[in-house]
Parts: sequence; C-alpha cells; structure tokens
Amino acid sequence: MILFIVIVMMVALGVIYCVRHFFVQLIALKLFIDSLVFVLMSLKKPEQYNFNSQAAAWFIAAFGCMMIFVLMAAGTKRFSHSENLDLESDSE
Amino acid sequence: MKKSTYILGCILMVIDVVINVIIMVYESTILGMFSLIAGILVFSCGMIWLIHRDDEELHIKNLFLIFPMGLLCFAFVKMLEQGGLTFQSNPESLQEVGSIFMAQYQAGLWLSAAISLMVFVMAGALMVRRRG
Repeated sequence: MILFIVIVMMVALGVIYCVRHFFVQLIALKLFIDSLVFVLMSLKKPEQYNFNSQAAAWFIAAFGCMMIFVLMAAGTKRFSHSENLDLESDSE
Repeated sequence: MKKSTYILGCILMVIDVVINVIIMVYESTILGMFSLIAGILVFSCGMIWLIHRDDEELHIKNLFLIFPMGLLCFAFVKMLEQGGLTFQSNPESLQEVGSIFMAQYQAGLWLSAAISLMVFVMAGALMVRRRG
C-alpha cells in the first residue's frame, strides 16, 4: 500500500514536470496533494496517535484546494487569450 | 487524431477518485468528500478547456526526469521503512484535530497579521507620487 501511494505521488510529480498542458498538470497537482493527504492521514507507528498529522492533512487539503482554484481561475483568464494550453509557448 | 492528452487526464482523474474514495471510506468522510468535489471540478474545467482548444498531441518536456523521480521514490520508500511507519486505517478524532487546528489557526493568524503589516509598510515605502 505504501509503495503504491509513493509511486502514485512520484508519477503525479513526473506529470507536473514533464507534460506541457496546464490543466493536465493541474489534475496531476490535485492527485499529488490528495496522495500526500492520504499518506498523512493513514501512516503511523503502531503505538502512536496521529492527531498532528491528521490536522496537517486537513491544512494541506484546504490550502491545496484554495491554491488549485486560484490557479484554475488564473489559467482560465490566461488561456482565454492564447492558442494552446502550454504555458511556455509564448517564451519560445 | 491523437487522444493521449485526454487519456492521461482521465487516468490521473480515476486514480484521484480512487484515493479520495479510500480516504472517504477508511479515514475521514468529510475530507474525502470535499477533495472529491474539488477534484471533479478541476477535472471538468480541464476537460472543457482541452475540448475547447482541441489539443491533438501530448507535449512532453523531458522524459529523462523519470530517473531522478525514481531515485526520489526509492529514497522516500526507504525513509518510510526505516521510520517504522505502517499503513493503518484509523478513525478520525475531530475533537483532537479541532484543538490542534485552532491552536495552529491562532498562530497562523498572528503570522499573517505580521506579514500583512510588513507588506503594507513596504508598499507604503515603495509608493511614488506622480506629479504633473
């Protein structure tokens, strides 16, 4: 289970860095945040309570949602004037 | 016509939905539900724009980034193994989480107040009055 989640996190990170489509990168960023939240919610030592990591998971999920909606609004405004969904297309 | 961008987006979304459903069922129902709604909104917005722009091919920046990502994945798994952390689904304790949450909220409020004050002081110092 841990290996699966870590692989999902790294695949999401790889898509964020490798693929050049803004909204696919945004979905990958959402997947990365969700898998990180899942890791924080569920991983613990057998003798340990994990209230701190649960609170951190809530914080990361809330900030991630806010960040993603800000990025989504900025992307909608930005790509309403451009030809494709590549952020680096204007600099080439 | 290539559909690889759509397929990649759909695969990522399906994995995201699976993770959110696992969070919803085993960990925290409210958090999983909110994450699922946010994920569906992001996915639908992205797909609308992909269909609207009709992107035909998948632009890939650099595939050699897979190797450092693999190394990072290996290091992360080793770190979790050495820390003795295991996957255990445990019920959410909203009372304890709420206490920590409010304490962190209070600290964050003071910090954001200090940052806002600093930003206003800097903005005031940088403000230039235009004449004529």
